[in-house]
Amino acid sequence: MMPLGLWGHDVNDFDEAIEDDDVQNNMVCDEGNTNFDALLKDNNQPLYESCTKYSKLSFMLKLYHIKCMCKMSDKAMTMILDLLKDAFEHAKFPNSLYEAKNVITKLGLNYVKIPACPKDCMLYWGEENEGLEECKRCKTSKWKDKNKKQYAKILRYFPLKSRLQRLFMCSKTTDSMTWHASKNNQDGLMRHPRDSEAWKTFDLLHPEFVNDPRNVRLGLATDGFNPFGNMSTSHSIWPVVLIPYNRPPWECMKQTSFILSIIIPSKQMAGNDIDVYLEPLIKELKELWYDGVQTFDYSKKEMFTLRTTLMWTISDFPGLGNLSGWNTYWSCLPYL
Amino acid sequence: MGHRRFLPKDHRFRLSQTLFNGSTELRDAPSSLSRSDIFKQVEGVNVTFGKPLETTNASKRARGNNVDVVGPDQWRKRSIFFDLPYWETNLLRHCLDVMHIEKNVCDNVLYTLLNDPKKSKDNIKARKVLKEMGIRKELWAYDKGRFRPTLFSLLKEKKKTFLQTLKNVKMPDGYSSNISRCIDMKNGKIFGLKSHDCHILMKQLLPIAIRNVLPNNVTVVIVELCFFFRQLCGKSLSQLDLDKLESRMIQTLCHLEMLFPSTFFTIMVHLTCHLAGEAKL
Repeated sequence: MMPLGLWGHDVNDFDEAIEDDDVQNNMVCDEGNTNFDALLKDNNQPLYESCTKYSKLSFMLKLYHIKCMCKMSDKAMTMILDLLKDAFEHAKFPNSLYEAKNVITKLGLNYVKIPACPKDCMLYWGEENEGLEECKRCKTSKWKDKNKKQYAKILRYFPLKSRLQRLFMCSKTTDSMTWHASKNNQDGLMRHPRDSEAWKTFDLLHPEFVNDPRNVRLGLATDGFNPFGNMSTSHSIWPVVLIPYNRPPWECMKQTSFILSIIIPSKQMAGNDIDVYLEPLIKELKELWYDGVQTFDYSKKEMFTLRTTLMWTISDFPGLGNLSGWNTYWSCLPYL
Repeated sequence: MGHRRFLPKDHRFRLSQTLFNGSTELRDAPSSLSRSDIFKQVEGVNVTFGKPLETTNASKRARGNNVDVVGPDQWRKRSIFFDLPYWETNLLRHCLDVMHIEKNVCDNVLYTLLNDPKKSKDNIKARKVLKEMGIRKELWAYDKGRFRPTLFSLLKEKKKTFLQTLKNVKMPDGYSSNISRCIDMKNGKIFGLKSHDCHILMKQLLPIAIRNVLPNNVTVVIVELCFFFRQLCGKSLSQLDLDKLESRMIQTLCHLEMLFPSTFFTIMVHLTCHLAGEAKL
């Protein structure tokens, strides 16, 4: 599972950010300054002497980006690294792929693995549940293989905060994040959700949220698919994707602006139990609504408190039933 | 069926019996639940999540949650989204997926027109239902499970023209996939349509392809249906247009009811009438 591989742009976007010294110096790093110092050190080292174009870090990122874009295997990557090191002795390449990966995780775009009950009862997550060895309800073990420390089922959760912060820290995206408030629509036609009634009602009800146009509004989309192409194998993965509606319509619906939030793996789809898996996301969304998170705004060069709201969910009709809890087999309920 | 409910009170369709399901329709359109109503209803539902514990006689149907039903049993859970403080006041919470609906509607229409033995909605069961309802006597099945073609069934020759039209279509690069590849002229079938293909078909191709192969009244209704999707998927929408579109769609659905058997009206077809309303929000 390569999170960066799926969403190759992550590396790319951050790459831009890294090249800006301003951003770097002001970057807020939750994991403490040690990581950041290491990154900074890597970035200040030129790839080889008298090289101005690439630093050690930026080269590594570009290389990793290529790996992700072309879906290269880890083995191929290791071989290339070996070859490069062999051919150019003075250049500072990462020693191994493992080392490169370690550096890249420090950028703060990694994900959290949360063990889950294989029968969708609960997550081993949060203070009280984390230490448990078996499910509270069905008593199924947490482990698939305890000696090898393999979990029976893993939910991959991609923390939202750092991803939102990055949107503001990157010089390329920070301007478009206030688009929805900047240019008013003149002719009364609807082009973007901001022209819609639901959006306007929300504005009326939450004036303190609207005051700062930088606050992010998200849409949540989810659907199941079979990752193994072959439809005869039953497997259904539910990725949950967040869409920032702050950006102009021609940007917000591009693949590059989607934020992958959760990957729910399963043989059978989670169905009504999808709520269990959404828990971490909802918790983070709540935090982002009440407290917000300190973020650096590149365009104005200042810190501000970023708050977030979830506007609506988008899914196909059975998915809608799962998310809302309305029994869609029987009847339809308009405008849920 | 039953889209006449959504028509205005004094519409003439409401009183007509023979054209529709054999009775008049005097009900109002169903009222939509207000937000706080939903919130109240959902409040009482207690759910334990997880696949059911292994019991001896667990049938497949009984899968699901162990819900202690307190409120109306339409709800299967109190959605976790209600934990969000602003969720209750949001006007629109769960959106419908237009592409998904469009695909299902397109499948319905296409396969019924082509009379695909498996996927057509106009099959022996549909005819039996018609008999049970006691309407449209000319379409009832005979004894041996055979039945007469309807207005919209394509004859062999016409089917060929229809498919040939679709086969000959050439698209600009990157606009859609090669639809002609999905068409099997020999067996008179269409296969392997992806949802985007269906979108293009509904939007552009179907109105053209059916123009000369079907009787006029059928063509008009289907073109209207296609027009609806085309308008809805436009880059910009205006509030006024959407109002018109919604009422027009309901009329279209009523016309469809007159033509197609009741099995054609799956939930997906019904959802079309809510799409415009939802786009307004």
